[in-house]
Amino acid sequence: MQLMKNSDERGPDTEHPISVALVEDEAATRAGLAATIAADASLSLAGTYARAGEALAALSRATPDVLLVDLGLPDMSGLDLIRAVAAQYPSIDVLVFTAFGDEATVIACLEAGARGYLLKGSGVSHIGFDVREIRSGGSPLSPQIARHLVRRLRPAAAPASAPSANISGALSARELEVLNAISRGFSYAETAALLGLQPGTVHAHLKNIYRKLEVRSKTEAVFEANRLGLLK
Amino acid sequence: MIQVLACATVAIGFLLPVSNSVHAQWIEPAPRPLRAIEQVGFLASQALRPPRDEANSQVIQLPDDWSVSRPGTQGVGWYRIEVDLEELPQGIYGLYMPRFAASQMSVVVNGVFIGGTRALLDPRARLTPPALGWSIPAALLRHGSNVIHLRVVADAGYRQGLTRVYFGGAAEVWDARSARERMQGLAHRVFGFTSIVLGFAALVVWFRQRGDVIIGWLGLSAIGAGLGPALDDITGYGRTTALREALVMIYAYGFVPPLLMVLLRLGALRARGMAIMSWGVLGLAFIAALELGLGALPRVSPYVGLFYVCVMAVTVAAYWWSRPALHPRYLVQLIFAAAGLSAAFLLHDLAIWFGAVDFDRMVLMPLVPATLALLTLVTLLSRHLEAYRALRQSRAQLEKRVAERTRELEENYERINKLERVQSAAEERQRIVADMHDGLGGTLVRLLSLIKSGSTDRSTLAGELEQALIELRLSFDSMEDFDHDLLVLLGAVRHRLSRSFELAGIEIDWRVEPLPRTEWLTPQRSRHLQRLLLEVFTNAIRHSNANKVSVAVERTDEARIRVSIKDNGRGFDQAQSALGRGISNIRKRSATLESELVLDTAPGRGTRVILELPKEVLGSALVDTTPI
Repeated sequence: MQLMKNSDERGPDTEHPISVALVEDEAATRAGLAATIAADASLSLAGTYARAGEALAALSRATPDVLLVDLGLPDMSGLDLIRAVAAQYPSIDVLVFTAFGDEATVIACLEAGARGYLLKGSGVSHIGFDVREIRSGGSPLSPQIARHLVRRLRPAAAPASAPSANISGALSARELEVLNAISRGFSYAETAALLGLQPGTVHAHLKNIYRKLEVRSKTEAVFEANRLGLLK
Repeated sequence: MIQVLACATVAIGFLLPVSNSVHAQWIEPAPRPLRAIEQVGFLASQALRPPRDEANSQVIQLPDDWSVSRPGTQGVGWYRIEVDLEELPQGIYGLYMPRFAASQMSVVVNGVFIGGTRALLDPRARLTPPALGWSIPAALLRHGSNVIHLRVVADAGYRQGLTRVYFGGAAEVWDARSARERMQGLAHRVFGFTSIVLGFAALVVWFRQRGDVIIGWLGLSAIGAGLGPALDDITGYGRTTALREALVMIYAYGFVPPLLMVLLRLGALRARGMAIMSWGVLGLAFIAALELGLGALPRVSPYVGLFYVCVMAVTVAAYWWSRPALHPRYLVQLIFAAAGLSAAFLLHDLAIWFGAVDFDRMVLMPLVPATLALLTLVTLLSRHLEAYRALRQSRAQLEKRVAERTRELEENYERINKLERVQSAAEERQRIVADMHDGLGGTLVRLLSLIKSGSTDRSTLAGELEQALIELRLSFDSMEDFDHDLLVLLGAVRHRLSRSFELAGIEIDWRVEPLPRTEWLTPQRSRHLQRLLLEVFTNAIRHSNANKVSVAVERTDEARIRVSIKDNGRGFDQAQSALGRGISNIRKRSATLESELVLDTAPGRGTRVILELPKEVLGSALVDTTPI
């Protein structure tokens, strides 16, 4: 811990701090996070909420740049909140708090429209760096999630039942290469070097991929609803 | 059903030929009906002109069978017929004879020769002698008394002579003649050919199904019966020779031995002697006819016929005696009806031959193929229906069995599935327990003892807690899928430790090449590999004081996969290291994975861990239909 690096290598833009709102039902965590955000010059705290209802009500008045969402909320499932926010306020980057960053949770959040996730407990002091990093290209993808995305969004191998004819949400060749490298354990920087790209380009690809995942999951939901006769 | 069909067919078959005469005699009024001439004058004379001397001729009754009236005679005679016409002759008149019972015949009307048969129609070697009709123009007749002379060449040995003669209008003569011809000529041919065709069909059935001997013999019998009428038409005209006479016998009686075989088989009678005898008699008759030369037919044939009638009668009797019930009853009844009918027809013709009845009666032998054709047809039909029924039954049985088997399979599948689910749930539980035990549990215990021992170094405690969290996250990862890809697993461990590496100031040199996915990477093995890597990396992070860790994954020349992890830290003395417990864990897991582990380290030289996975990893590679 004594070797903790300075998280502000990129040089945070203190003149235009990123406004962050927070939905977390556990008071201690909420207070700790709020304090950390407030202490970070590159971030500004837009609000803290213990319930999803409060957050949605507040969003109708003013929208922050980033909304941090805890999945285990008392009044609404975190996923539903993400969906609601992603649908109503597309300009907000929703980030999810998760204890484990496990594949199932992360994928579900990304499909619901989240832009990334933060691991709980791993250095709250890092949060400014993480938020900026995620804003530029999403949270670090684990190889398992990357492989999942490859399988899910691969153009040729889309499942027959999926509405893949219009390829809405199929990966481009470059995106596939990026995901493949990540699924083999390469970091973003290594991936960029491997594919001869700028690091920023890798981030841009990942952002696109997240959007495709969201689109794909929505189209699939519509398709499934059509198939079940729910839509007329 | 089939009985009704058979009866209807018989009725139609027999009514058709009769219908014409019924029509001719009952429905159409006959303006100049035929009158039978029963009394005639006869004079044995070879003269080519009718005898003038009426005094020498004797008065005789018709029919005149020479074998009765002039036994042993072979010669020529003149018959004198007187016909009184009460009207003025008009149109055409005619003479009708139901059977041409001579070798040759010429007709002279009132002294004018009107025609003759010459040798063309010599009916001696025919099964069915034809009927005869003569047309007489009115110009040759006169009102009142007319004299018609018939010159007849006959052979008493062949039971020839003159049958009854009928005089009347030409139309009536030709009606009568065609009715008779239809019955024993046309029916003859139709039934004969039908019988042959059906016989061949039966033989085809037998050829396909050799066990069905009855249908085979029946087919032969039908062919034998049909050949007579067919060959009669072909060979019946022309000169009579010894060979032709012998052949006539073969095709007259050829149907009997096979029919006898059918009867014997049907009754399950073991009368081998009778079977051999019935074939032997046919052969003997043929040879005898050839040996005896021309004229043998009348001397041999009736006795052969008599013999067969007796044999058939005996067989039928024997059948009724034994009464086996091996076949459908209607079929047995039909076969015996056919055999009985054939025997009756044969008997009737023998009665003609032996003079028991008038020799101008219709010959019934031509109807034998009709009965046999019908019998064969019904038998074929019944076989077909039986086969169809059997097929339906066996299909129903098969479907039932398939359904049963399917149900069994489904049940088995369900059971196995359930068992597998139970088993895999148990395995998963075991895995999680083991995971908690070596991972999180151990860390927590260590942490607890640290706190109890009074160590309050916050960073140590935070480090331990961090480690516990990492353990827990790895557990989560191992519950998800690594997609059977070793690199995904390796990358996931790196990913989980990336913050730790970063905090420890360690740079990672990641050198991996794409590997095929492999079946080898089961959840169990994944967990061991994951833990092994965690142990190696944690040692590097905590104890090595290194600033670079190289990870390389490559294929060896022996088609194995080698994972090398190397740091540039301070290394350690393997003999006295405090890391002993961790190292022994690494070795254990490597052994569990059936891999080879090389630990290469010494103080001041860094640490290198080389893990060579078993050959099976590449050996059980998965083939992706769409390569990633």
